Amino acid sequence: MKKILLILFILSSFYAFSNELVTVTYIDGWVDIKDSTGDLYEAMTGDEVKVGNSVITDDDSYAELREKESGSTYNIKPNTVFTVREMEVSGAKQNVLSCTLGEIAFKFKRAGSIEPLIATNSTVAGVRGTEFRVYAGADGSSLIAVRSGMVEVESEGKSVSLEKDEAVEVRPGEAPGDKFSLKGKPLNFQSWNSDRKREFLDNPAESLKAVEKRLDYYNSKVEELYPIFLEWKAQLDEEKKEFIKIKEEKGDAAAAEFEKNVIAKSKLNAVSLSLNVRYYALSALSMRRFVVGNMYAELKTRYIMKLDKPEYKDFEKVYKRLLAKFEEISIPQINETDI
Amino acid sequence: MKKALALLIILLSFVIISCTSVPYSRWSSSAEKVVDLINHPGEEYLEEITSNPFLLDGEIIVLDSDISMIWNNLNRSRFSFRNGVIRESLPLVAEDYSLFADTMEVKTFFSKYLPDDASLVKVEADNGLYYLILGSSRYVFIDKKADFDRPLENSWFRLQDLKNYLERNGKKVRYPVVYGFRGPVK
Repeated sequence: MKKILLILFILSSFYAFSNELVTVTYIDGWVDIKDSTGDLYEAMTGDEVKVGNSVITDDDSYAELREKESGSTYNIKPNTVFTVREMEVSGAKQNVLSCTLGEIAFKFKRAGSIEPLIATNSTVAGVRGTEFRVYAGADGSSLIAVRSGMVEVESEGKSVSLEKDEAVEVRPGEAPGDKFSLKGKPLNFQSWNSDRKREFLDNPAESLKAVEKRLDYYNSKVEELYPIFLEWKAQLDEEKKEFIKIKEEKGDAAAAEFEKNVIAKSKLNAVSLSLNVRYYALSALSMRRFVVGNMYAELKTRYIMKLDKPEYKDFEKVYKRLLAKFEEISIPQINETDI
Repeated sequence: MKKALALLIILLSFVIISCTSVPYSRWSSSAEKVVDLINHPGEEYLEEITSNPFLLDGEIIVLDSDISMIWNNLNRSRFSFRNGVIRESLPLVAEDYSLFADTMEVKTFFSKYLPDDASLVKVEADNGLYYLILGSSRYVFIDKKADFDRPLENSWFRLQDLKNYLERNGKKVRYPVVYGFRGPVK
């Protein structure tokens, strides 16, 4: 908890978030918005979806979101979890539009600004003036299909460029598969996801191991970045002491110069790192909640009268291992409002 | 005198019996209603009285489709509390979270998503010990013609169903909201 407060303090002392990203322009059925404090409320037309918010649709509900400035649209299909996150990429703050589960059709319009990253449980994609669909399956797999423009899909250090009428599937913890042509192949999320689910039920432990691999990636990023953040934070504390000393000994002008040339850099580094630590921890939480949670619920309730079956025992073993790592590494970066 | 003694014995027997656990089917408590519903193929009605978020063991379930899947699967697995008896039904305390999972997530679920009047129900059955978290009641409509109490619709959202229901001469009853399920524990 202390870690979270520390990060939040640094963020609030440095960034003035505008937070205003997109607006809900159309709703059919019951759609929820989960805000960054964890509160869940019914979405209404005109609601703003800010950084940290999730839009959750039901079996028979649908929502359309529109970016205020560019007019880009995101169509959130039924049974989908969409979250707006933020991370630091090459020194610049960038929005990450995350489809954890379900189907979203994005239609980006060129507005001259940096276009967001698109994330699923298994991949991150960069877009350029594009119309495309993202599918996020029950087993953590993703499918990205492009109708126009270009999408760069990256996973496990490898990337694939998709152009018009091309698609690629990415399994959790694996590099993107071979891209394929969409011509004459109408895609249907329900049937694609049913296949993913069937594959999971055929071999639950192996499917969960693939998810574990992706969670290991998120955990490793948290482990990598958090100590560096602490180093910058310690350096920042020292520099603040130095700032007071300079102010007393050399006056306001010298202190202001020190703040501009030295402290600002440390603050920027600390903020960037804390933002990214949170990004990876929250990505792990999302995957744990919507993919692992679904897998567990599915299997536990199917096997409840035969919990000693090897299929369930093998799954349970991986499940417990995966949760232990998540608890140890990512949970300390998550606070109660995230739950 | 003999009559008075016999009456006293009968009364004492009644007091003793009512203080011990009895099969759920004889209970008229609200917990019994939920146990009864789980023991019958009434998963679509259980959805109506299940809270979102819902706790399954250590998992916080937040999608309605997942809640539906849970009750569906339990029904398809032919799950029931076999010869189940309600051993305890006590007000829930914060520390009870560890009965579900000793994690920060479940601890937060207990402090953030459960009502003050939530209760922890322990159901002991031939197939294991189970925990249920139940909370304040929700109105549902019961079909008199059904072979067990079947809630039809949630009154808050389906006024047309209320009208239809009244036309069918049903009745409105309260069911406790189900917040969590854990088990078998042993």
